[in-house]
Amino acid sequence: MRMTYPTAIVLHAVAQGVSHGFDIIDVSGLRAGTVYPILRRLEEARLLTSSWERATAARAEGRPPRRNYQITALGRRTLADAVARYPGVVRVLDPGPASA
Amino acid sequence: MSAHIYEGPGGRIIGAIARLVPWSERADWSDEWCAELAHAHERRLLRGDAAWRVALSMRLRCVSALSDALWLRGRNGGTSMLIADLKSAWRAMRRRPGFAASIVVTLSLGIGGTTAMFSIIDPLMLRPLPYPEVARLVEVHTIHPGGAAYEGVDVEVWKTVRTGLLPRVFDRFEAGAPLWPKITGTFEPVEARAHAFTPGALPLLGARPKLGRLFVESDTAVGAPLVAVLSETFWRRVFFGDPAALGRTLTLDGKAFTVIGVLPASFKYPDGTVALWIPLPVERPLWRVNGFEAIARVREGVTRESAQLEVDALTRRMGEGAAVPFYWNLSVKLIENRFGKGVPDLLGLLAGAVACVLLIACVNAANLLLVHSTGRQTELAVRRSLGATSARLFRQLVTETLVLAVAGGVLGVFLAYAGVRAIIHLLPASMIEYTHSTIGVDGRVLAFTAVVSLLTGVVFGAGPALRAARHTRLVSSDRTLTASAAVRRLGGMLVVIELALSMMLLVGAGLLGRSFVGLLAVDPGYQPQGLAVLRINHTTSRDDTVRAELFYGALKERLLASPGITGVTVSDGLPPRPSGFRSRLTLEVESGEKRLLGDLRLPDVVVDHDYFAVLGIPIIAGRSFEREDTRSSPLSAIIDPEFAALLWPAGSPIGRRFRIAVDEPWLTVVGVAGDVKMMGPDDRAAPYALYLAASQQTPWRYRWVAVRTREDVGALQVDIRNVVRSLDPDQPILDLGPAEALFGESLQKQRFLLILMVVFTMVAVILAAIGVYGVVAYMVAQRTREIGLRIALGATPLSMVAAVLGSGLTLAVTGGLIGLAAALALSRFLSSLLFGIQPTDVPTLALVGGILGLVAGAATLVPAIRAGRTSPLETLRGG
Repeated sequence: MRMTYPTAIVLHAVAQGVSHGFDIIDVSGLRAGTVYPILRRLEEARLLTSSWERATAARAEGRPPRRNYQITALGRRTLADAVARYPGVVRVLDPGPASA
Repeated sequence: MSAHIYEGPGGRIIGAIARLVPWSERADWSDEWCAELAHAHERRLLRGDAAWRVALSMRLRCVSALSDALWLRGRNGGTSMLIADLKSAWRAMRRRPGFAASIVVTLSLGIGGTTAMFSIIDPLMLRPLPYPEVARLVEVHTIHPGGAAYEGVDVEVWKTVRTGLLPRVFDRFEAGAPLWPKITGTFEPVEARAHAFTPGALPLLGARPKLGRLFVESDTAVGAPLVAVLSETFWRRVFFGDPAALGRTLTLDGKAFTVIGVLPASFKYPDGTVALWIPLPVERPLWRVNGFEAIARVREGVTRESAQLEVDALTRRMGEGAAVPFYWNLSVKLIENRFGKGVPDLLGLLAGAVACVLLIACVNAANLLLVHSTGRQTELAVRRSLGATSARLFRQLVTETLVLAVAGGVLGVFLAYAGVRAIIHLLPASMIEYTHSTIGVDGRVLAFTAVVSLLTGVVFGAGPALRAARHTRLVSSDRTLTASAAVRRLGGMLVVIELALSMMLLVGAGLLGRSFVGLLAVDPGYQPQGLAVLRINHTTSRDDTVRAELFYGALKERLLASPGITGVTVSDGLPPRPSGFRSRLTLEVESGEKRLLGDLRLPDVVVDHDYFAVLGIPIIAGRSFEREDTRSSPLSAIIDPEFAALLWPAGSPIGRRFRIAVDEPWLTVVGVAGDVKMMGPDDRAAPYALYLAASQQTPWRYRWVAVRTREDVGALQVDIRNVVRSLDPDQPILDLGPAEALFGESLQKQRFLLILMVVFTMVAVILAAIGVYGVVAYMVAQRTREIGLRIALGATPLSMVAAVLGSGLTLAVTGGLIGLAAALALSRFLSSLLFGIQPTDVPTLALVGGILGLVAGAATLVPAIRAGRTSPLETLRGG
């Protein structure tokens, strides 16, 4: 798939452990309308996988289960190329407050 | 993943948006968004944010959910299907380029042609005048003894009505007066139309200055500086649109006026020829005026009729003892479109033509689509049997139709704009000048025709498609055969309608064409070849006729001294523009016999003694004017044979006397001149001519000069201009050109009408030809098996060609006869526009009938040849 700058940001965010849609939006500063299509394309390209949070854990907090995104080995290799191409990607993220 | 219900802020919005997401992904999508919203909502509340702020933030995030959902839909569902449909539509178009082109051309001609024409007709004829409270605006006219209403009322009468009826009947009562001053102080001297108005008139008409201000009451005060408001056109022409024109000075007939404002080009009262407006002080007008044009607004609640009664009540007794009683005979008229008033027949005819073309375009589009969609039953049946749903097929067929419709629409918009530009170029200048509104493509009309045409396309394209999609089965049955026969019949009927409408237009265009040829062939009665003409308005000061006479004398002398010039004459008018007209006159001959001129007009011209020689008009009896015709001798007149026959049906008119009204002096006929078309080739409304000797009349400052040359008229124009400039550098020269062009000018209206009618008729005939082709080709395609069988059973290919041609011609004859009958029934609307022929002119009708037959024959030829080439073997094998 075509590695654009926003795509690299999203991939990098997931690699940094930001695994939920809204959290990626918050840390990247991208719009949801941009982030979600990127997540779907990355998943289709097998650079990411997704899984659903365990229902019991979510229910304990009184909310629906969230979808988690994880980077794959292929994703990590691709990200290395992407960071070489867009070094600024690393500076964009501030994963601190979002990784909750 | 099972759906978890989130009922927090934005939950319902997500539920609604989820419907857009393709079904296979909807649950996951909805769960993910709800979970994220729920989590973010809770976290923000825990952080201590205000609940309303959090709720708002959640709802705003849903906006992004919409774009996410649309993206998914586009990727997996809608757009990909749309693209597939569009691709399929494109393939269908390429498979049948003739059909696609026919539809696109049909729709574009329908939309573009009718919009262009209607955009012209509407401002000229239909649109209400663009003045505030126009329904209450009236003009007051004087009724002359014959019953004709003339614009303008006597100044004293105007004052009496104003004093007597303002404000009881009228809440505004204003005056205007036209004038044609010579304007200097610009880069070249010009003569322009000016209009003097009382200060209230311009605001009454809703005038709003584009620059500067309008004049006010104080501008008419004694000693106030003279001021003028320019029209935008004149401002651009003379000051090149420079705002610094405000404060500049223009000299009108020697009086200095300061420019105080510019009115936009959209303001055109009394008409578009006015270059500037100046104040009219009622008590002491700046120019000599014979009367005022009265424009007024009736009070709210007062009708025109009751205003007329009030005016009558006021003026009736005043007229009894007055010096000129009819001055007090007034008519209150609602202001109306002067142009529309003059030529309703012409524009009415064009409006009819527009309606015909739009109707033909719609019928054609309907017909082609009907035939096309029913011709695809086998294809649809195959696709259905392969699993396509009715909805899917319907959607694809509608897409195909819409693609064609949109292509036709886009082309139509271009055609509309190009058409309006072309028609404005063709429009006689007088038509544009007398239009109160601005002419341009009318968006509403464009939208209307586009919607009508597209709806036709969709209804006739998608309607049968829907039916076909629902009912089509792969195995043909009696029902489908019946359906195709019914479609064929319906298609045939629609084509007959098209042909009938085309025939009507062909008859109209044919008759107008023959009339125009007749007008071109009319002998003008003088020799315009080798004659240059110009118009001069010589005014150094009002009433300075002596100086004017000296000027014209010197001009004549200098021109005659120029090489190649063989004659020069000065007159008050030249054909087709006489000095003036008289109508509704009671002609009286010396024996006391009276003849009423009725509606016919009597053009008169005041001419020099050499007029007839220079123009090449023969004197067929008596003599021309001579130097002995002086102010002290009895008034001489030269008339044309037709006027002579009206006055004295028997005997020679030479030496006999007549007068044109009881208060006019007696005139003695000294000669009869050859018949001259004083009003242009079509002089049916004014077939007579009366010439008076300039040496016996008070000279008028407006003069025409005719210059006869042995050499090129074009080259002569430079010499003429130089001679005039050498005599008076400030003298404007008007209408300088060949006499032939001046005479041809009177045919402008007919030429315009003819060109438009021919263009419209061509469009109609092309559309009808497309229609005939579509129906016959469909018929041949449907009957391929039958034709193949017939050939197999011994019929010759030629007989098959003949049979198909015959069916096309049957349609043409049926449509042609219906159209002919309709054209004859409507011919009375056309008769006033015809010249020299009757609406029932057999050669013209036969000719246009032949054209329609030929076109229909040509349109049938291709499918007919195709039928003749049908191979019986292949047909039988294929069947």
